[in-house]
Amino acid sequence: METELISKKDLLDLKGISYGQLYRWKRKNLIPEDWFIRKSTFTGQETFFPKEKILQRIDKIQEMKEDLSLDDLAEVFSPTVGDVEFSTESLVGNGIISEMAFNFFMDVRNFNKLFEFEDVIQVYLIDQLLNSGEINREEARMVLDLLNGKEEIFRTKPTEIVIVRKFGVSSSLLVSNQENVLFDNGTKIIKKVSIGTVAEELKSKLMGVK
Amino acid sequence: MSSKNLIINGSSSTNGGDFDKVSIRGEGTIYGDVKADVVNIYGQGTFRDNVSIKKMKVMGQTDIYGGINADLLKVYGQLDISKMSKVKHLKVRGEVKFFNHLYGERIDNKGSLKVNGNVTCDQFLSKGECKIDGLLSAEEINVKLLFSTSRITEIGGGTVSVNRHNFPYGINFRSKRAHLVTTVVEADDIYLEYTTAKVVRGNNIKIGPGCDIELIEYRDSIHVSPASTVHSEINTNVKKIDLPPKAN
Repeated sequence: METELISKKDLLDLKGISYGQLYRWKRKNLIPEDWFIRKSTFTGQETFFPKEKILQRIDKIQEMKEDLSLDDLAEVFSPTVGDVEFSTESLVGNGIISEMAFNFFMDVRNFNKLFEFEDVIQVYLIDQLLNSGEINREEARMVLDLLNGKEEIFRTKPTEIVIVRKFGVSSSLLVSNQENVLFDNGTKIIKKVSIGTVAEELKSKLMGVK
Repeated sequence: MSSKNLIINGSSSTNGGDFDKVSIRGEGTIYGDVKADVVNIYGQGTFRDNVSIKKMKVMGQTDIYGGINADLLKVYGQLDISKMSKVKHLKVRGEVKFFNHLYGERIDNKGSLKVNGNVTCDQFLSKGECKIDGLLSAEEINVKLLFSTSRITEIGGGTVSVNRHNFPYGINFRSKRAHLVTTVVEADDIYLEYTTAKVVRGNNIKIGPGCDIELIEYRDSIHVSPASTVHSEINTNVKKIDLPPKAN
């Protein structure tokens, strides 16, 4: 997987931001450390970023910093959301998750406590996947089984869920700290989602509700 | 609740735990994590694991084999820390060595500060010696050079100023070795004196005497003292005019 890179200088010019701002955002953890890629060039060391990710992130920061402080923003981009609990009404009522996905989740998990952020992510994820029509209920059940009890993993590490099918049999993987996952030819990757991205999306929705 | 103090007078070793006050006069070794409000060390102290405290004062010599998490850390003696540390307010009057990253809010060094890793804080003031083998990132960076050569691999932040300290009463203790060696300096406003650097990038750059810089990339303004050598200068604003068509 070759990702297109952008140099720090080009990035600053393109987005009209200054070195001070960039370092400030980095200090506040708005830009993850591993996006800073060092390469030696003829002028010495230069820093590069994965182009698509960093441009998206900076757009988002610039757009949201009008209403939120940098610390609030850091909250949005961090993989956790403290100890916030959510009630069913606030989630379903505000249209963050659909009632169907909610019922499905309750059905699979026998859930009867207040929702923590980790639970909300799972329902939200299932909701998105089922809604897009890419997976069926059986597979959704499988993903929920996979995620059950693994909260610690996807809370602390960048994690992806990969759903594959081979010969009509589906299977799902939880990949953390991924470098590269390769499959044989007969295997078809149906869906690959990074939990971080989903969490970010969900968080900005939840912040909007509050 | 009764107060729990750990006091070592003489020589002893003990287990860690939760304390109000820890004080070592003599020689003490503590095995296990330590959590305390106040820690004072007058002799030699060794912490084999992590330390989490509000206020710590080191007058003697101390080794911490874990990391430290402190609100205020004052060092008048010598302190070595092995793992990643968070110190809100660090005051160095003696010598401190961090063998891993250091995070803080205000770092005030008037002795010798050595870090094998990155230093991240809001305000970084140094008047003495500092050696940072990594990135120093802060909103405000102020380095005053006294006697010896300071080395910082990379510097980035809001404002950066590096200058030689002026001694009062016209006394000149200055050493020729009072110099800063670095590779990259990136900030909005930069003032450098007696600095050797490969690349300096910023909006407003002022170069005082005694510098040797290979490349300067500036956006708004530049001023170079005649007592400095700058091999090349690029105004990135000029380049910006023919950039937009590429971006669209």
